[in-house]
Amino acid sequence: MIILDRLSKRHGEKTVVAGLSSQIRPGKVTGFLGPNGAGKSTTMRMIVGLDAPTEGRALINDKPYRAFRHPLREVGALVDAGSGHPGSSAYRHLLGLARSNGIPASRVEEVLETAGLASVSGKRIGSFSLGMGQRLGIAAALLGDPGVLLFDEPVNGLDPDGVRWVRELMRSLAAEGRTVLVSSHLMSEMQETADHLVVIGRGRLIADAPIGEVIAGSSRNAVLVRTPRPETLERRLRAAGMSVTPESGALLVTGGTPEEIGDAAFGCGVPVHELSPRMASLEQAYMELTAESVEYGSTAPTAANHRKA
Amino acid sequence: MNEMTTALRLTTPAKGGGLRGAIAFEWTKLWSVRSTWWSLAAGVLLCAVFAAVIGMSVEASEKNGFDVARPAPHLAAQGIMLVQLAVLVMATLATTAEYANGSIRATLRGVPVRGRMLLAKTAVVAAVAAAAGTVFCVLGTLVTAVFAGEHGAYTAGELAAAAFGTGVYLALIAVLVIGTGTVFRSAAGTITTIIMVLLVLPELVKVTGVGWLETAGEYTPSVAGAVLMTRAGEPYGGGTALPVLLLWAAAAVAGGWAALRARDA
Repeated sequence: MIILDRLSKRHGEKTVVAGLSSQIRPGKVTGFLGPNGAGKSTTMRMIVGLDAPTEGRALINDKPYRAFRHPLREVGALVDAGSGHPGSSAYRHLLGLARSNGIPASRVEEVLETAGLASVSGKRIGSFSLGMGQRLGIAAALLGDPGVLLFDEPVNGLDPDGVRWVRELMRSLAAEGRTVLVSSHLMSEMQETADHLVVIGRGRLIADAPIGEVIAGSSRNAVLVRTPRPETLERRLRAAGMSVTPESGALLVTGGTPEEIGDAAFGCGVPVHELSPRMASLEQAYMELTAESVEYGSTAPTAANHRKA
Repeated sequence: MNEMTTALRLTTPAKGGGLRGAIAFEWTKLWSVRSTWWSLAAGVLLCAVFAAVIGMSVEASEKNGFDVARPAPHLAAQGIMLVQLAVLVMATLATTAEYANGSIRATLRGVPVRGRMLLAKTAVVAAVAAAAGTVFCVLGTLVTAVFAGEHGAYTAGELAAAAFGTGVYLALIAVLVIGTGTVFRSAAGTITTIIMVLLVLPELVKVTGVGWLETAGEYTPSVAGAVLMTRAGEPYGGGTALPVLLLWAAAAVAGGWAALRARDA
């Protein structure tokens, strides 16, 4: 388990992480989400002792990272894809790490095999593609068979086969009872992989809940109603306090359950031809949560902007 | 899916780690990079070349009536003043390359106790530097002796003392380089500083004519090193030279350790 206790990091005037507190539990994949610059990478670096917190602490199984005699056997991390010396071979890079923590050399071949790098283990890291570098970083994280794993943008640069491999890897690691923390911007992947979400923005915690709850909290959850008499139903639903948006011949209703809408239609004698709940996607829920916290945002071109230009 | 998970198990009990693990780590890293090999090879080659040139120069000077005969190890030491750059480059890259390519993060994840990491790196590089120094001294002596003939006559005792002194000197300046490299984190800044301190400064202060500056210049590491390599007895004996070098090395390590502990990786 990872415990973040009022973790804060300031660089001079700028606050990168502000009073972050959370418990990341074993047995599930916890997704770590936030806009660019929100403090995700900094938080992960603080967990493994690369950056020192300004205040607060990050503990793994109740100890700080540097207190472990064999840290690589407790925590595996893929943070800041700086894998190793570009002149060193993949094998020797992992061998050095293994020797530092008393891990046998045979283990190096095992993890290279698992990561799909067995055929290039003798090649220089400098000649690796982005995807291969990522796989090497994942192999390094698995080297000590740790109970806690941190992955910062693991699918960066991977092809669809690699993305699927990472997803299945995370799920199987969590199923074995390990603690898995993954940060990613790929919402569709996160939706498939994560059980629990920690969402931060501008260094602050925005949400810390199971993924179902986060998505259910989105205002984009709606019910699609198809009826031959939309105006009547619309009036009735608006009167009940729901908001109704026409959409391609049907009505998109928010603020009411399918049961309430069905009953309302029955009450005013309107036939219903389709009544289906529309779940928000994780991306939509995430965008709503973090709209205020986007650090490096861009404005999408809108009709108004075009007219101005 | 099951094959994947069972393959991920590491069943051997936890062992190793600590300082021994850190030293094994640094040793593996040092020899995994080509720059270590070629800088040491370049050193050996340059050592032989300089030693030959020095030997020939002594032979020629003696023929012209100048008395420049000295034991061959002490003649070769002049060449080692330049050959030491090979060891300095190796020590610099062993420290600064990790910052340049980001692998310092992997290193500190494997060995999070920073003082231990620095100690291990220093021990490994200093040991290699000491071995290199001994090799340079013996090789240089043999080559110089070939060209200088009887003008470079020496005893086994002189060679042994010179080889030991050269090994100690190169080990301690390797320590100096690692401390400096940890503070600057860049190869360019480190090498420039080291060259200034070792080669430029002592020569510079000699021409100023300012008394205390000239005296201070005698306590630079390269002057102390020359004493250790040649047992010249001036400007001071080995009993002073060694503490001077140790102080320089200790100051650099202290600075490096402070910087390492205070900064984010």
